[in-house]
Amino acid sequence: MTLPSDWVESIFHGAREISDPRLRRKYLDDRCQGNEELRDEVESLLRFDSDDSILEHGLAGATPMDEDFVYPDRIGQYRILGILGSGGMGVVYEALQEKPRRKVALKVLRPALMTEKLLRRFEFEAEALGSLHHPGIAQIHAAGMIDTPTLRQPYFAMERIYGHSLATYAKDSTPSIREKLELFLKISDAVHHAHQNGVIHRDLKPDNILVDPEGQPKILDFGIARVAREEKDPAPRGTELGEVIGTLGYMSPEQAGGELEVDIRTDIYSLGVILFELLSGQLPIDLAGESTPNAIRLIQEKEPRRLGSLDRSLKGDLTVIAAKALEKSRGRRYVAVSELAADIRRHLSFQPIEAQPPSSRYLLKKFIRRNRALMLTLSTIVIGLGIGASFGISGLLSARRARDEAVSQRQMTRAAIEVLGRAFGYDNPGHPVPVVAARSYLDHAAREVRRRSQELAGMDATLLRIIGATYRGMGLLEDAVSQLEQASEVSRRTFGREGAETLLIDFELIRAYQSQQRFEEAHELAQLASGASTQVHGSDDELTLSLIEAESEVLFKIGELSQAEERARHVLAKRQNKGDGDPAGLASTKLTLGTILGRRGALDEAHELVMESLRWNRANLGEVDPSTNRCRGTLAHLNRNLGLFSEAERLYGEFLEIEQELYGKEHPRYATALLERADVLNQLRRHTEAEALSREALNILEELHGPESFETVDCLATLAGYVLAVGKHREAEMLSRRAIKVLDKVQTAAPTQRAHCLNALSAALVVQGKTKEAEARIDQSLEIALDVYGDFHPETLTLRQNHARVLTETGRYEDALLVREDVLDAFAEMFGEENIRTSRAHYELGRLLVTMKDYDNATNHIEAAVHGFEARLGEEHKETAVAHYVLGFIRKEQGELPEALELTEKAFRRLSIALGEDHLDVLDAAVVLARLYEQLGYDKECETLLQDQIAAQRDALSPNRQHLRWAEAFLETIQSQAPASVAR
Amino acid sequence: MVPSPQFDDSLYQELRSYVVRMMDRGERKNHTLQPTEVVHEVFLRVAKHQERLNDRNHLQAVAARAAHHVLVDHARSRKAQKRGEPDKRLTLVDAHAVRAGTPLDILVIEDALQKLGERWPRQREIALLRLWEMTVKEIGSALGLEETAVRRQWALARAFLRRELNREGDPR
Repeated sequence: MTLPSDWVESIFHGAREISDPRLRRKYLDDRCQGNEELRDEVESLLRFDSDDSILEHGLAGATPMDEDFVYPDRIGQYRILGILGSGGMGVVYEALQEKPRRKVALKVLRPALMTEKLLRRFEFEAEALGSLHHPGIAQIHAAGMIDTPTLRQPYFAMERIYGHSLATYAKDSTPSIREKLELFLKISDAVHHAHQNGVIHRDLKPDNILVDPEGQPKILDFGIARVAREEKDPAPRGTELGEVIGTLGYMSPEQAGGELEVDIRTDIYSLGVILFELLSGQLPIDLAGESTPNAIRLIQEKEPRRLGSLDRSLKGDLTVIAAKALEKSRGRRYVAVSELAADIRRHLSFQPIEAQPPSSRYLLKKFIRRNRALMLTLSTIVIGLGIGASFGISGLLSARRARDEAVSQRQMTRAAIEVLGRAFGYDNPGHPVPVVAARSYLDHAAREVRRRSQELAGMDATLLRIIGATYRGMGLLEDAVSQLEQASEVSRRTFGREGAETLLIDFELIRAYQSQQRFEEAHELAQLASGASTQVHGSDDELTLSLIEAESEVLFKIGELSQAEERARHVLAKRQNKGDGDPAGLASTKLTLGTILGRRGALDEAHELVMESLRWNRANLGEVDPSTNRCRGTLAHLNRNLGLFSEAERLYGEFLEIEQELYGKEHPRYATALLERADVLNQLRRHTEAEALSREALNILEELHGPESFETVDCLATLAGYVLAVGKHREAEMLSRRAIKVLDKVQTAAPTQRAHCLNALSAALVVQGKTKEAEARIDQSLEIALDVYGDFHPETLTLRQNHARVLTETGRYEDALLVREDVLDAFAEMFGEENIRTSRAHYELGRLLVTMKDYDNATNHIEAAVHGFEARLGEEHKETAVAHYVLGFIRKEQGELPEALELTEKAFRRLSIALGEDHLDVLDAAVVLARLYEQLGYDKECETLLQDQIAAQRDALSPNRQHLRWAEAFLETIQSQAPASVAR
Repeated sequence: MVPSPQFDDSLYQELRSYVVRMMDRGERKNHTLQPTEVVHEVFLRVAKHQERLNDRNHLQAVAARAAHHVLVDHARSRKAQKRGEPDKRLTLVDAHAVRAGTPLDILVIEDALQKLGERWPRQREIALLRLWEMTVKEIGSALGLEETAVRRQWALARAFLRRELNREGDPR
């Protein structure tokens, strides 16, 4: 058998990045899964991999101490006794101070790192550092510039401490949890003291904390991280690689992201990591074997593990406390170290901690919400077990195999039900169900399964899978993956790598990885599992089909749309041809394919498939069901892309309501749908609502993913668009610049996000008259869109509209005209003449023609637009009114004054209603209208209008003075000419 | 009958200097083919593509491929003629792939490349260009790939080729 090339390739590359031979072996164990041929192949390639790979990947080990280093006998007033250490920042000597006579640790900073600016800051900081006096902080005796034999270098003379680093202390003296917490409190108190004196550490880590023989921790290097680093380069530099690896694990997401303004909450994060490691012996985010850029990304994006998931005895308060300190978003962390410490003290004295979610009502609410999803899954579990673990949730197993396995399954099922029954308290009816959180049931179930693994005889894999799947359904991904990975291990032992159960677990794992955005892993596993299943169980097997469908979903997620479509079509064809197929499976495949086709632009076919899927789900599973709602969401999305905004708006409304009922607002899908709804509202020109929804989405996303995640960035750009639409130009510019800045930093960003942000920025710039940059930005954006979407896609067309706008602003009307005409043709062809987008394209083209004074053609397009707007939006809608207004303007320019007057009056009335009387557009319309009255000699009407305008401005809270002055002056002119006009 | 392309002197000179430079690398005094002959062949092959060659690196890549084929074809025909006689070796040296100074038979390399191409066609492409002394950057620009991608794929190709070439040297 030839090995699949991409396995070999992927494992080869994975292994190359691990330099530690032991870790590398473990990695190969994990990845090759006992496939000796695969392993031999990869290993033999690795043997011929050149040894400069390490250089290429920048993963050097720690800087070794240079044995040949010659140190001076004396530096200033200090006699050098020896070297205590050296690192990226400089060298630490043990030295003897003469007056007062004492041993000190003399830290001489590497001069190469010191720029002028840093030196000045150093002097400033040294003073602050010297003022810190606390038993938990290594005292700085002196700091300044010192002459070494070669040059002047900055130095610190610190208290010489005899002790071990915190890491060694925790490992060697095996303190109890209470002892560890008490030690941690001492550390916290010291950090708090520094904070109160305005000093932030910025580089807290176990290496910087020594524990002296009396058990007193001493923190070193307060604030030095700041003195030793350039302001614009706060991220670790390459020369300090060894140090970086040691430091990264403790670095806060904002530091890792290169944020300049760190504050005390940065130290709180690092303390959180220290607490976590002290208690569990592990880091909250596993960075082993990661390259530096990858590690930085993980710190910013990956949810930290939960203490309780590593060690059950740490569940509860401590898990909550650590999690709060480790929040990605600073705003969600403790606001002061003293509060973190206070919570730990409360925990030690058995009082309720503050970091708990606010109230029991909140808890209850959350429980009920979550429970909804839980209950749904539970019922599937019961069905699954009842029928014999081969149908229901595991309906993926073919009926044939089910028959073969039924007998032994039945026995195992009985044991399984008993386990779950106990876990869920069914065997103890008198015992009230505790309202803690739904997950505790599952935690409990998982424990039970492990406890009874002997008697379950292989069934534990199934149970672990079900539990894992349930966690996943609840959005507890970390737990889900951990259970499923365990399940996979057990299953492989019991049923073999290609056993149906193992593949079922793969199926769940693929989905869980996907939800965790671990697409590479999901992809690999999906490929492997679907291949294996096809080979062992045949290409018509339900399980095989489901795995291929899962693969298709992953391919969709990573943007391999044509492959995704091909797989989904394959599965759909197979399922449709099978008489006895699983109808739920068929519905699911239709949704999957529909989703893919929607993205590929085949909207009609997509719409039909999703409708079919929705009908089946609705009839068989009910309205409030995750699958039904997924269909609804997808349908809303398709309607939006089809330009059927009112329908899309309605569907999104329903979708969001049910989604919230099922999963609560914390589910990532909720925020996504919120944004899509905002887009629809925006399309309907309900900008204020759109702005509000996207702000809500932004808050949720920031909390979920952190302020610098892709999701947040995307949302920022979107929000910028709405903010712009309601007229806050400057804020829109700031928001989109912020988004682009983050994208520049995160290298792996999807190009479409960049296009999105660039477009938002361009739009914000154009309205401010900054046309040059606006044009550059929109060009960049278009380039990306053409590349990604092609030229006949709504996204591209929208960008082209904006391009035309920039061209118009810069006076290149002919160019703009070509673009507008093109876009109009495309929309008309794609969506039909009646569609709102087409109407808008007509309107925009008409506006441009007005600017170009081509009134005849303009009239045609504006009339087409009016027609569409009236049909789609109604006569009272402001867009309709604006179009009327433009039409009036055209008539006026053509000298058809009476008709112009009629149109403008109508538009003015409607605009005042739609926009409010203070709106700038309404004031403009008033000006035009007044001029028309004057030209036609309707002085009476003109006077009334002007008097109304003046009265309105005088009554207004913030009158528009310019308008008021204009109206007053105009009125005066009219009145002075009054006699001439009486006749009319 | 070879179609006679428009004789573009600057292209010819550029190719010539490139091929000569490549052929002069390493200790290969035993070419049975003169650079001029190779250049001539390469020129004829490249000229066919000329309208599509929009930049230097692309040209370089096409030239490298062509030169490779010329040398391989030449070596094959010689081998066919002189079957039984020990080869006068026509060699290429990759500074990275083999111990310095060990000349390699281009047919042996071609064999290994062929094997690589069966499993990883893209990597074969990169390896070929790399063996013809194009830098990672140049390859990236010629093939429209990120440098990191080229570097990654080259790493695999390099390991594969070394393994193959080593196997070749093993007594079986």
